[in-house]
Amino acid sequence: MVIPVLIGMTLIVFFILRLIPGNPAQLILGQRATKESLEALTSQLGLDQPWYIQYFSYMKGLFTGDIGTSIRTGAPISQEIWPFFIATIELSVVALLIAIVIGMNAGVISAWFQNSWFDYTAMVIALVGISMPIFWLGLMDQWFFSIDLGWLPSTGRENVRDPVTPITNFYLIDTLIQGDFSQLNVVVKHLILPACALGTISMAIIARITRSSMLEVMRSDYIRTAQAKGMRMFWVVYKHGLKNALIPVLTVIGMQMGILLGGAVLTETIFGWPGIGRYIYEAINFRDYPVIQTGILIVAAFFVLINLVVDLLYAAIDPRIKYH
Amino acid sequence: MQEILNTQQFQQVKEVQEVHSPWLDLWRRFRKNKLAVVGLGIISFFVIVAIIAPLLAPEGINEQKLADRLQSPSADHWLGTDDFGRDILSRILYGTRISLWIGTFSVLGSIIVGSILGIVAGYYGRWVDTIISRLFDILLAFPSILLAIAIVTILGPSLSNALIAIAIINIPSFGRLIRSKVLSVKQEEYIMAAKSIGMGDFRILFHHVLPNSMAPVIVQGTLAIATSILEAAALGFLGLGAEAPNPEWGKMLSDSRQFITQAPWTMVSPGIAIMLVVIGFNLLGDGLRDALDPRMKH
Repeated sequence: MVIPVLIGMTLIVFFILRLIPGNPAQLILGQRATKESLEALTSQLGLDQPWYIQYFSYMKGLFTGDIGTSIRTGAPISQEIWPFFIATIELSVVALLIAIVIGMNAGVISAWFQNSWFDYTAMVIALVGISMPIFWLGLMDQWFFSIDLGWLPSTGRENVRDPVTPITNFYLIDTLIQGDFSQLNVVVKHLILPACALGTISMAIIARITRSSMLEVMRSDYIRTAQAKGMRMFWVVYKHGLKNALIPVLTVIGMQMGILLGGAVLTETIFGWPGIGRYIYEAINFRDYPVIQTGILIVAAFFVLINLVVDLLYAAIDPRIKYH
Repeated sequence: MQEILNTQQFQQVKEVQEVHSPWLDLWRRFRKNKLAVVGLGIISFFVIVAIIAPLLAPEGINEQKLADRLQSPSADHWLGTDDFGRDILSRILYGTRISLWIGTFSVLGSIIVGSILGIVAGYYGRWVDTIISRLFDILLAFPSILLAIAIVTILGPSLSNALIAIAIINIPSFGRLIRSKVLSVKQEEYIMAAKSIGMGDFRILFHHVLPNSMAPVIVQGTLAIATSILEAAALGFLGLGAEAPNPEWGKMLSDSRQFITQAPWTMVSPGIAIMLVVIGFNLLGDGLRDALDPRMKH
């Protein structure tokens, strides 16, 4: 299933450029472009060839690592995109971790103390969380925690006067490898606001699904048996309850990666985070179509692969699920 | 005497009909859910505001008073003014129309196209089903906002193109839903009966299959309006939706960004408006799902 979907994605992304009404080269260069520059760009983009030849050479490029050249910077996209992509992954993973830790625990405690004040408060917050525009939350966070209180930096990923020396481009890992804890502190401070803003919707969704899944599991006979044996309620809930309630939660967590990668476009724009979302957004403003195509394809392909990993994880968590 | 008996019988039949009317039954189950009623109340409020916006708005949407620019909330301007001195409350009230319009019509578009594709895939099966289902898989594999950005990039940034983009990204979820319902409905005996009396495929599909698959679509549609409003606001925020001077809430937030230090109130009210209307549709959708779920009947 994964391979046909990936091929289908390349087709859709490939046609983004070809479906634009008029000559894309003219659109990129503007109305004042000379005939020579138009012809040169048309030929560079391969637009003078039949579409199937264009698609074939596009696919050949994808397999050989040649994913095009940015019109804005003139640099190969394969070199340019990597640090942006890693920056987005770092932000999304931290956002997801925050969402899982807080969301799952809120869901478990809500189910454990069903109809208590904690349950009502947590579920109202979750409802507000899924209904809130992520970019608005980001702006409010920025205003309150950066401008008003001055606790956290409002934009960027690092201190521009003392930049991190990239090794893996995961700045949390890079600063740890270098043993530079003052820079680690700066990197963490830059991460908190965008990661919290990005993780809020996922946190709310995870809290809601964990609660409903736990409520179902907590009515099972084996939970009653564990309680009857005199096991401490904490272990009954977390060991017997949560483990069996995990499959729907895991499905939702897998889906969150897509929401996070999509939401990254908005969060990165607000917080000036140099990730792939901002890279695509800036490319849109400059009509840098090769970058838009490749950026969208990379994010979407990554999302498909994450879902594949989640599918494989089911079997590890639930031995009743087997893949042949 | 006979006449009195007939009247009594008629009354009884009417009462029985009323008790078993599916709409009344649905409403009875729906109103038991207090949160769902709150959701319906919120939506009704916004619909009324959208209709009578010109009566409620203290000023016009583009009435500029540069002397009053970036005023904080006061008795004259309850929610303050923006950088052109326009009354934010008036713009929010008019903006209700845009958000409800884009949410409702994009979802209607998705339901219509998704239903046609889902019905064709589910009813005809074989290669038609394979092609349509794979297309749904591919579209669903994209993070939705990215796909919307890609579509608006092709069509060009505007409010109507944002609506089309949002409609397209929602098609696969409705298509899949209808397809699965069609697959179960087409095994029912009344469909076989309709076939055996020589009814054509088209009539069977649109007179029997579609009406019997609608309950989950209504639920999904209500929840999809909520996400569509959020997506439209996101596109507006990125400069890919409504153009100036449209009072679209996402665009208003985007415009207020540059005054975050000077006039933070300019970005509070559009965000709250988006959140409230989305909460309303989410509560309504959850309530409808519970009310339409046959397991919740008793």
